[in-house]
Amino acid sequence: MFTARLMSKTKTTTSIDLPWAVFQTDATGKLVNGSPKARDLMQFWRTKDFTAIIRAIEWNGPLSWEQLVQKEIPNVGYYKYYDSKSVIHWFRFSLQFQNANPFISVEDITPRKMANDLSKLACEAANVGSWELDLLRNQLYWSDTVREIHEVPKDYEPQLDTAIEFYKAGYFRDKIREDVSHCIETGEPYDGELIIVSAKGNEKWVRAIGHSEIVNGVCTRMYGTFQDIDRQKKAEIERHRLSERMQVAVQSAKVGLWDLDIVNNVVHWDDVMYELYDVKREEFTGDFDAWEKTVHPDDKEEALTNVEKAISGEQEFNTVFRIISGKGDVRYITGKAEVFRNTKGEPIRMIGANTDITKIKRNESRLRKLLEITEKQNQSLLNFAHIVSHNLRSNSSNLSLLTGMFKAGKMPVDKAVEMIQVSADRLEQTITDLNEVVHIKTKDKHQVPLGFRQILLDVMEGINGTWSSANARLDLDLDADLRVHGVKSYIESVIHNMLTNALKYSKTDTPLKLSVYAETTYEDARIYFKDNGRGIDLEKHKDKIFGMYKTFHGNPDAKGIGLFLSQNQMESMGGKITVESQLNEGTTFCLHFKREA
Amino acid sequence: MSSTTHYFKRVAIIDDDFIFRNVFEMLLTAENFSEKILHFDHSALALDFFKTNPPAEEIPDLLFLDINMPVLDGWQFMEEYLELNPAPNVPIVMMSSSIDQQDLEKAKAYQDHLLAYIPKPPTESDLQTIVALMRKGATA
Repeated sequence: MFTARLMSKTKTTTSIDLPWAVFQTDATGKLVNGSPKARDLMQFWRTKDFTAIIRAIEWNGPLSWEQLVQKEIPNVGYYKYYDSKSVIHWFRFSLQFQNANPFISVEDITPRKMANDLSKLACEAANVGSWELDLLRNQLYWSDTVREIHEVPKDYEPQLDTAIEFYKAGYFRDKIREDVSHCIETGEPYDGELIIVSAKGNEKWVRAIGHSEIVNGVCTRMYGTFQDIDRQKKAEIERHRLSERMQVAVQSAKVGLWDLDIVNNVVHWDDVMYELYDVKREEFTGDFDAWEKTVHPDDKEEALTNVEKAISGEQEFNTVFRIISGKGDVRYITGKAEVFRNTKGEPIRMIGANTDITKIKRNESRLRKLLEITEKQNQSLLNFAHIVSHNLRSNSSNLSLLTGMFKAGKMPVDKAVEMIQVSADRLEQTITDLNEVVHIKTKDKHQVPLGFRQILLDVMEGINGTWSSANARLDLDLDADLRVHGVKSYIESVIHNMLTNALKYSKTDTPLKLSVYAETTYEDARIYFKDNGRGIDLEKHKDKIFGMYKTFHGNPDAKGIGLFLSQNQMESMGGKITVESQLNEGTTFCLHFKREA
Repeated sequence: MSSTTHYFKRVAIIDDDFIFRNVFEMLLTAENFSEKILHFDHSALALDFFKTNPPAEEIPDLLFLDINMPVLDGWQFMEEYLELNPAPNVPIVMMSSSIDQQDLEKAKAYQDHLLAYIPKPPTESDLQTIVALMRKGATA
């Protein structure tokens, strides 16, 4: 029909009236006639000499233009043209003959050609080959790349059954057989990653894709691609192995990994993170706030500042902070992180690792406490040695001096006996005191929460007589429900000592006024005993005030055991006793108690 | 020491332990050590005595100083005593039942200001040593 219309047109007009580009030439290729589109093309090519274009065409097959024209063989050729901007244009020339006259229709195939070239390039780069199976003729066609992958010669002619033999015997061969027959029967394509053994005996991973064409329920043709993915696959397997190994390492070391998408504010946690924070996966909202909420209020500001500084690039993220876990306990976490930036240097991602160091921290503070206790024990041992040295030795030296004098007849009997008696009594008292100290040191008494105010009132009742005869006043400002952690008998003893001491060292001209009040925090309670007594010169006596047998006033009642015992009792309850004083103005003792175990 | 003449006119014992003061006084008396023996039952009282600028005949020739005492211990007394103006320049014998290494070291540090350091209980030979040291000091 096309030629018929051409014929009718050429007879009546000098130009070919067709909506596409058609050229009529003579045997040399000189332009005889053309459609309007053909004239446009000549203009585009910026030439009037069509023979030059004819000469530039690459015809399919071995024949030249002259041979084609001479034998009147229709053919297809391609012409490559660079425009003024050096952009390539591809044209497809389709040569036909009508009464020995060559007619050429021309089509701009640039976009199609580009796409084709690109896909060919892509296939080559990705090592993708193609194959086709004509089931009617039972012929298998392989592209060069497929042959290369199988490491067979370029002229190798594959057969369907031998082709399948290339797949590694066992799982892979069974799999491809099953996939192909399933594809033939149902028309469902397959796409698998399998191992082949090449002609040279090399095992390699390939990706095989197959499609089928089914006509009237019968599969007539299969086609597909065949890709060498050995390197990627092996890399992937290696990567998988490495990542599994790392997973094991990370999980056994309890390292939690997190990943913050800074741009979209999305946080991803791995399983260990949920364990470390004791947060349920479904309760974690997966944004920055969700993490921030877990951070201990006291550490929040610093932790946030550290994140900001890491994102701004000011400093690396390497910090320790506390969190409150999903179970409500406080945990110490070390965090290290790396910030990733785009090409503009803007932060886009932050990846970090967390570990729980609570145990290490606890052990640290336990060690520190042990050290403190050891130091205190050491101090009291020294004190003990000192007491032994002084009180026991001074009494024993008195006794030996006395008996020596008595034996030498340098001393009257009654005087000697009296003094020996006093020295013996003193020795006895010293030993009793020491016994009491040893008792505190060695007995680990059970500690319970105790109402402090009631104990104080009970102790007060016992010394009410001396208290009122001294005209002393007690200002009690304590909550009835104030509870401290300790041993009742110790607290009674300490309070007794506080009250009697205040009375003993009150000024001779001013009646005692003792105020008792408390300051409490979540963790400890401080109870103050503030008097208006004689006071102690702490600059002189600071080191000795709680020492055994230390007295400061030359008071005949002073034995120097009370404060020493009080301090030991307070310390054995995990607390302490401190003092502030001003000579002639008064003394304030402070009892530090723990509020819970 | 059987001579009836005394080695010293007056010595003072600074010690809070009254038994020791009394027994020691008996020992000193038995040995004719001093004509008169003063007692201070703690060191602050002794300091107060010197601060009142007593007449020369009331100032003792020798001080026996205990270490472990309330209010001011022997070492604190030494500090304040050396600050006194005018300086009493009375030789001091430190006496203690202490076996504390620190006390022995302190005694060493004060050796220029101490005539002797003798452990309790003092013996007759200790007293003889003190007399010898005093004589040596006087002739030097």
